[in-house]
Amino acid sequence: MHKVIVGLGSCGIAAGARAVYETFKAQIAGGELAEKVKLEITSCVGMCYCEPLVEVVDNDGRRTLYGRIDEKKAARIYEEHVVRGRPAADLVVDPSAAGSDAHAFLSRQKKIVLRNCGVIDPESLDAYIAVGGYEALRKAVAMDRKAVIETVKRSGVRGRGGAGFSTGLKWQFAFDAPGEKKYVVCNADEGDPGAFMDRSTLEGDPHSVLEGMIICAYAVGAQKGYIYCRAEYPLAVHRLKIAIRQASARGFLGKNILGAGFDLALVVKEGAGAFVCGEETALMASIEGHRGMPRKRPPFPAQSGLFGCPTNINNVETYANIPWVITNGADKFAAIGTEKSKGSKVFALAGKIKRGGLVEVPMGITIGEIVEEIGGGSNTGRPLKAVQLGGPSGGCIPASMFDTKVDYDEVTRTGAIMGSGGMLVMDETTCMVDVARFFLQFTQTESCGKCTFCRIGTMRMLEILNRITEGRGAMADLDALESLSSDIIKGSLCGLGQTAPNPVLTTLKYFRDEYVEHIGQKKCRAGVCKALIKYRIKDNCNGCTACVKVCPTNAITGQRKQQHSITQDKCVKCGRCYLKCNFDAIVVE
Amino acid sequence: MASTVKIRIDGRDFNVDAGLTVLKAAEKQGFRIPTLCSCKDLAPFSSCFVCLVEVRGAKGFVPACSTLVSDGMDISIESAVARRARKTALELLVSDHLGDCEAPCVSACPSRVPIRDFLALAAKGEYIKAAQKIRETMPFPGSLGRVCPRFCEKECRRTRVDEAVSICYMKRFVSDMEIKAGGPFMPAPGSPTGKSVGIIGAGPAGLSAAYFLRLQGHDVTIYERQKDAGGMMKWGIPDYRLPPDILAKECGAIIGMGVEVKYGVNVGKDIMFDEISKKHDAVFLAIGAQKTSDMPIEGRTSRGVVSGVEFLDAIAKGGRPEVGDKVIVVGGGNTAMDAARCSVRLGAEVVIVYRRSEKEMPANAFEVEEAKHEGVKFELLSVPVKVREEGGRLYFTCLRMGLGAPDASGRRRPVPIDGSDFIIEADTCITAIGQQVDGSIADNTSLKLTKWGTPEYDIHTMQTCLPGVFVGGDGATGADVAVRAVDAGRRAACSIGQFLRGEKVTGEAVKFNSSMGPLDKVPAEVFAGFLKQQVTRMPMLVAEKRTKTFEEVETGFTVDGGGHEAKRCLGCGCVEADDCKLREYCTEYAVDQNRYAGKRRGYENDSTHPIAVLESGKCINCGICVRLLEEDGSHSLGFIGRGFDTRIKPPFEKLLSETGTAGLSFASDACPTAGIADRKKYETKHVGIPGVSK
Repeated sequence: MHKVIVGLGSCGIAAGARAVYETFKAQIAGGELAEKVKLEITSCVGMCYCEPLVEVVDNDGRRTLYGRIDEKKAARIYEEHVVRGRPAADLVVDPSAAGSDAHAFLSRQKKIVLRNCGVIDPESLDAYIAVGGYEALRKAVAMDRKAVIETVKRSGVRGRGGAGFSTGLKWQFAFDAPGEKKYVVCNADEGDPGAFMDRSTLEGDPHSVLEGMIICAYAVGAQKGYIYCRAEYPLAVHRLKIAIRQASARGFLGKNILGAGFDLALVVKEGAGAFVCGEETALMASIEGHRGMPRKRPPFPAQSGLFGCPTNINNVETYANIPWVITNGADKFAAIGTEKSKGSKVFALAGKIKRGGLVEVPMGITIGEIVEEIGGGSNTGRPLKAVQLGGPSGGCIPASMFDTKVDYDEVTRTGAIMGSGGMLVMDETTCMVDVARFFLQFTQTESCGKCTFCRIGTMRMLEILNRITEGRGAMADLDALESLSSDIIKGSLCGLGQTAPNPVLTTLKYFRDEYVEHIGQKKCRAGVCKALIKYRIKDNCNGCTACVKVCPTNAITGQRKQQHSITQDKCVKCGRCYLKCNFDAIVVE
Repeated sequence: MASTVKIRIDGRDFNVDAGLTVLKAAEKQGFRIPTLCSCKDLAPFSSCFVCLVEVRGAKGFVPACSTLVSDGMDISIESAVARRARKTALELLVSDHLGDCEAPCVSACPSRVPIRDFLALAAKGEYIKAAQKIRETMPFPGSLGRVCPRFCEKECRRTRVDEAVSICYMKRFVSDMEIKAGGPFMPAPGSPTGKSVGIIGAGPAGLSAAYFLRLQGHDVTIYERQKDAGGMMKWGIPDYRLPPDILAKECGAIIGMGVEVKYGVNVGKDIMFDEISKKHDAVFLAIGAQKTSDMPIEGRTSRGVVSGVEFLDAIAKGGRPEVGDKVIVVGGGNTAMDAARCSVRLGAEVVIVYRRSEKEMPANAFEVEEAKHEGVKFELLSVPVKVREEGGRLYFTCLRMGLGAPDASGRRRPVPIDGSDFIIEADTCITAIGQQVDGSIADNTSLKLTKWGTPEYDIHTMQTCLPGVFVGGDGATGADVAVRAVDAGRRAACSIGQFLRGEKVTGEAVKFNSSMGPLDKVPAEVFAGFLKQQVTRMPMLVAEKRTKTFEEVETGFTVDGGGHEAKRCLGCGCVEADDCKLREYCTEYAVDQNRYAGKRRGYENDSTHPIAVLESGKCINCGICVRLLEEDGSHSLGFIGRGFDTRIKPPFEKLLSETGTAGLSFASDACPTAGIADRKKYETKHVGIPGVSK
């Protein structure tokens, strides 16, 4: 029996996988092999750069992976491979072939959290069970609750949401807290721009998250749990709800789970889109029906959390690690990584990089290895300048520090944070002042508006950055940025405010010369800040008029086959001509 | 018994009850930590961050309101770092505070007249109370209501709707009404303190100081060179602008509060300064600036050339000097206008010679207008360089001037044009090119003088280098307007009071003052609710009548006119200005509103509810109202929006009137600013409620 598996994660769907799926469906149903070929779905394997992905499993179990498939190519694969048994070699991406892109992308990864993503059908409980799913739960409920917590502690798992607090210790606090009623909460409110680790996990392997939560509930003594997932993740919410139904039907959820004498009900709560609800106290307020506004800690959720009860909150990635830890043992997990950062970390690799996507790497790998070896380096041919780690709460790490290890403490020392795993790669065409401005604009508009320093302080910083990028900055602005940053970090209740200045501080630390250039010479070397740049057509222009056609303001004039010129008053600096020109005749100054 | 923990605050050790917040524990031990978002009826919230303190070992600053004490905690409240953090929080809060503490007219008034409040009383027909309200800071409503240059009206926000409120005329109006009712009605002097103050000069500064010192209960003796009180208001301002009986009533009312005036006493001749010093516990020098500046030209001593000060003085004393048919007045200030307009009344044709253009004239614009109206001619950009007397007639050689670059005063410097000389003839020349202070009073004293002959002094406390000797008015600043002299008297009285009580002399307290910005920068929404209303015009004598008499030119508002004008006041300034915690802390921490100047949340005013008015531009997002209304279940207000623009408003775009009433009065009572304020306060303090009075 042949199997055709289409990757139907959000990324695949966005790239056109549904049409590919429908093509196979029609071909199979309409062909003579209808009884002999099974069409299945899976989710994202992380190779976003070559979606949509299709895998064909032959009768003998041989697996062939095809990348960048469209409807036409799908029809070809069906005809050539499924019907005639001859793989369409030119469409194959072969992770096992040394030297191939896919090999480079996958071979250095260590899949724990994403172990089933892109492998199994996320909408099938049987598929999960077939790869050992819910075995960890069986094992856990056979253990003493304290022993479960001990195992998690010993494994060294730290919170993958960003702060990196010991997960076992957190569970211990919730366990120790007096109270009949306790909660487990999964933070699936992934909101960093460019981050999609949790979405992929939920879409690709929802049961692993549920299993982690159930084990946690058993260990800490919780009877109810919430998965707080952003409503902008409809597929994740859909698959989570399917998984909860399936798990309840099989006795993994509900009353007297696996006969172990404990109950757990799980509810998916959809967030309405506030970034700050990813902060645990705001998240709980939101579940309770209040506005998502953080409050002072202590008391920590383990003492007084949801509805005032002891509550354990972890994020998606943390919970997804738990079944692996229980199944394989604390020591095996602790064997991976560095002294204080164990296991693996998932990153969403994006930006000016050849192979963007979702990667899971062992702790201790360097940023350079991720960027250069897994990601394949710059996709523009221009040298890389920095990576932004941790999204708007994180910071920039310059290329000169790419030997920094993926390790909570080492990353923190650079001024960035590990964060939830966004890794944005930047080359020389990225203006670092603009990057800081972009992230600060994000956090400013997402501030809940409660703390004075966060609400007004970040606005004042943003105004300064706007001035600098518009060529109206003064050197004293840099001191003001630093002093405001320090006050905002020290004078905000929650992580949003406490980390909002990080992008500014790290770019000031590593790219101060760019700030100074913006202010002193009114120059943006990356050619990004519109007020400081000018487009000019050089004398190698051959008058092809391609630029004229894309200019939205008719600012470009000239005779056909002769050098053109730009009327600066009319130019809105959109850069379309620059991108369009095939002869490098347009320059940014 | 509750268990206790040991903590240290600012280096001192205390045992305090466990379970207390740092804020409560510190307060119990007598420390004071500012806080805006904590409310005794509610659990801690921590949003304002004005209560930040340092705790040794903590990661950042610690909000005292929501941090529980723990054993061994080492807290710094008054450290420079903690104070700076709190100040920064306050400066950030007020950078987004779209409100005026004080109405801009009051800020502009040198005498700080409570304009909004007196107009509100006048609008209700309570004229005596209105005049008394003015006297809280300025005891000459009738006189200054006639001669003040109206700094207030230039800042009047009503200008953005139609025209400024006639604040100055309204002062006069309420004073006229009070006098008609038998006034002025002065407040009772303070209970006697046994201290005595000697004041030299019974002009506006001296009398103003006397008034405020009597209110404090000190004995006051004024030494006055002239035979009558009033100073330059009496001797320098013509009767047609300030009728003598009005001034006499106001001076008399002050003197009637128990002030002893020794007239005809020339200090330095009849009595020595040292003697006055010895006789009194403090001395206030309010000697004015009457010495005329000389015109530095050839022939200046010619017969027929007189000084403006002497000329006006002679008229004030009832004289009617012979000026002939044609008068030249040299100068462009108020004295020049007064001299010119007096000369018109003496039957002469008058030409004012001024070396710059009309724009640069220091005289009040309306004085210039009135002079023109009465037929005075102007030779602008002209300067006399020589005068020759021949046969009882004066011949002036003048030069035309061009305007060069601005000088130190910001006015463009006149530059003579070669060969432009011309000759004007006249019978009399009145020079009014400035006045000086006669510094001879300082002879044989250790008073230090500046190069202008004025005593050196602290412009805030008015103290000279001699203990207990204060100075103010023209005698300290050089010739200036009366309203500033009256202000100087009040401020000096405050400092003198401190000195006499043995306190540190700090002068009048200056409160923090939030401002919506200069007139043209105030958001248009502020004025959206107000309709245009015709300004009340001042009835005047017709021009022909004026040239024959020294009768008052402005005849005063009618009752209807005054009532209408009072109601034109927009009621700027905050209803909670005297009861605002934000303002109190900003004053205490010497906050600069412009330190973090930037975008402010726009102006919004919801005055649809009968109980409270919501002005979210003044809100600091402390959420006390939200939390109170949540506790009582009405949920009338909530945090709306995100980021910088987060505001507290009724949910779902509702108006306040569409929400419940329950709890609103508690909410407005508990609001630390005027984000939500009791509507009654608007109704008593404002003539109009912004956004409602249409």
